[in-house]
Amino acid sequence: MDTPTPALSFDPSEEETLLRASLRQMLADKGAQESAHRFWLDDTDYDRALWRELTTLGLVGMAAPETLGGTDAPCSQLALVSEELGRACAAVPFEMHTLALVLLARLDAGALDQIIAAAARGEQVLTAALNTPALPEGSPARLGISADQRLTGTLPLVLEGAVADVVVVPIEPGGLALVGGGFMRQPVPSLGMNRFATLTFDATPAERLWSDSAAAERQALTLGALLYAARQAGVGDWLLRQTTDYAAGRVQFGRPIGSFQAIQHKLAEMHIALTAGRSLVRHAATRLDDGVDGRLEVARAKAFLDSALWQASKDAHQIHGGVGFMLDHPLHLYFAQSRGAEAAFGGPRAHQRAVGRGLLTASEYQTNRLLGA
Amino acid sequence: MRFVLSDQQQQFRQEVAAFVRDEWGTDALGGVAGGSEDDSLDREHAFKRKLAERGWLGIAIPQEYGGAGKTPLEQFLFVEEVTYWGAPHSYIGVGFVAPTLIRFGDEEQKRRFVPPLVRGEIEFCLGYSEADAGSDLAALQTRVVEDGDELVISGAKMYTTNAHRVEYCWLAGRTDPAAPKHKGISLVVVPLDAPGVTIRPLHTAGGERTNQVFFDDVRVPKANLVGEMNRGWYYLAVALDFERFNGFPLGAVRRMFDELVGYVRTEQIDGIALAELPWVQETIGALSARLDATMTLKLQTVWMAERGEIPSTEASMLKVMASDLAQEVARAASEILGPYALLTGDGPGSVARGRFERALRGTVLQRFAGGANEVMKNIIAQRGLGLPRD
Repeated sequence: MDTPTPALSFDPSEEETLLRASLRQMLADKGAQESAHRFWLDDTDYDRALWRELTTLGLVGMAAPETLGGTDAPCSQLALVSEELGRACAAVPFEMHTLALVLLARLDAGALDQIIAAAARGEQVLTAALNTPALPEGSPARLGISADQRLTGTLPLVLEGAVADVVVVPIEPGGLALVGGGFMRQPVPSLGMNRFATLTFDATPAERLWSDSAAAERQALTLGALLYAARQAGVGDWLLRQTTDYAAGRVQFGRPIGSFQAIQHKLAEMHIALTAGRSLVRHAATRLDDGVDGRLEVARAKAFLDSALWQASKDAHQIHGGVGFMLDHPLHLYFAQSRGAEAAFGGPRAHQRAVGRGLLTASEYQTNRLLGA
Repeated sequence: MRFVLSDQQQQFRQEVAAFVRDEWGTDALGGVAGGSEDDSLDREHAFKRKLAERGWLGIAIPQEYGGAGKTPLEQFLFVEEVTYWGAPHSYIGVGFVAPTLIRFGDEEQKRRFVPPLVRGEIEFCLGYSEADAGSDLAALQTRVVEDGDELVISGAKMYTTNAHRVEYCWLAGRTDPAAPKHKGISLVVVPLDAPGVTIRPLHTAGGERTNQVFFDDVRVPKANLVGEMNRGWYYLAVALDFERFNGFPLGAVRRMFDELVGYVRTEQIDGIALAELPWVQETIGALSARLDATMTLKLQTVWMAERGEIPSTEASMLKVMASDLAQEVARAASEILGPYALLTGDGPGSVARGRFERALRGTVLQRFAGGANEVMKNIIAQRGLGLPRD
């Protein structure tokens, strides 16, 4: 007889524990954080050596179906990987590549087997240009499409646009197209290791088209927000541990600065916010794996963590003072990573608004909820 | 992190809700917007007896002491339900005193106090704070002197909420004035009907009544000493952990949030539908995120308790977040509703029966009661992050 699943658990599965440990070890051994310095303010490339290591671990293709070289990895595992990448400051396009893999598998697995399998093997980097609005009020930029399936238009600030080989693009008036080349790519250097590029299409042939993609797009936006929220959780954990260690060791006025209340309170607040935020994102991932819509859970996690990370990254710098502001210290890389993760798939205001709109304008409002939905 | 209730657990919640509806009513303002002054003691006692008859008053207290012997998760579900609807339960006696007694009291004390607590026959108030001992609780001065088989208590306690309505005071007193302050404290159970006890009411800006309690040579049997003499501070630390773990249910703040959302969904102000304003949506959304974040901290403490641990740092973290949250919900109501949030009482034009106005006042307390949040942050930094003491 099966042991019933407990109603409440904060325990990771054994699989998750092993995954986390082996990934963390690899990222440390291969110097992910040290490499990240190369991409400071010039994030138009990614850590290709690290991407190869991730491929060897099977993580680059983990979201793909098992038949195509992946493991059908659930959102909980995908989020776990993003979290560790955040902790290690890994400059790799895992989130968008994963999101695009999931999107393609959902849209049309049969016809895309070769692309998916190649992407799973790390031979091609995928992205999806679904994150183009800069304002919460905005909608993603979409390309015009001609009768003979040629795409025209500009997609600004496409996440991983600077490095992706294959791009899924939104088209007017609705739908998605797959493009593997034939467009102009203008990398746009930024703070945040997002590897943005503006992509320009001029009668570019679409390799595949899907007209009925609204649901898949929405799910992709939700997954994107989840993965970048998870990245924030990892960044935050590094900031907290690093800053706590620094405060415990740095002596001024004859005592460690971590013995002063002002410092202790900032770190306590950081610990509270990050503990809760981490649980929110892990809970959201679990709900997506349960097959629940999960949009509001993800939005809450992203909104909360983005705000928490703004505060944490400010306070980490404040506590480190001059030492943490030098370019050879990794702290600024985490500040940058956090800004980049916030800008991906909507920052705090956008998600606060989405949650509020969801609760206030739905036809029914369920009272006396304990957690979620 | 996983939190998915079974059908049976959902049913339990519904059962409790139905019970409260039938036996107490669901209109009570309760919690952050209510006050103990509103509810008659007789009515509260009767309700608690009925809870006890269902085995619900001491859900997680071991069966050997008259409790239902169920899990911390079930206790959590029960308390969340009852506090959501504004109904009473035994949050001090069963929530903090009983678990501490079970750990540190002798068998005679456990049998004397825990079963009646669980039956709803007695209740406790906390005799901790004094005029000169708030955050610096270890500076307490109420004297407890041994005299043969008795202990003689002299001094005055402050903010002894509910002393006027309960049978016993769970008192922290000084048994050794010569020792360093943390090492001369003892815990004693004091019956409040003993000669020499005087209770003076204090009324708060939040609409609650609390008390000052004077002890003039009050004699209690030595059998009322909990644990070892002069070890009281350590028992108190555990009792305080239980207070932060059990004393901050989220039912009341969830109710306030739902009332706010319910109002905003349907109402207009100045002819404008509140629910359509983006800034209102953001305010509600941000609160919703904080509410769920706080709930994950609560659930983390419940999960620790399920594993037999006493949440300490985590309970302090919960206390900070829950108290901040309660005030922020009240604040959001005042931001969104403007002057309408300030209308008092139940009169015409009042919004949600004056709930938000009362909450604006009532929630001020929570950030300093039960352990000031600044002290909580010291604990979190020192116990949770390993930073050195100030």
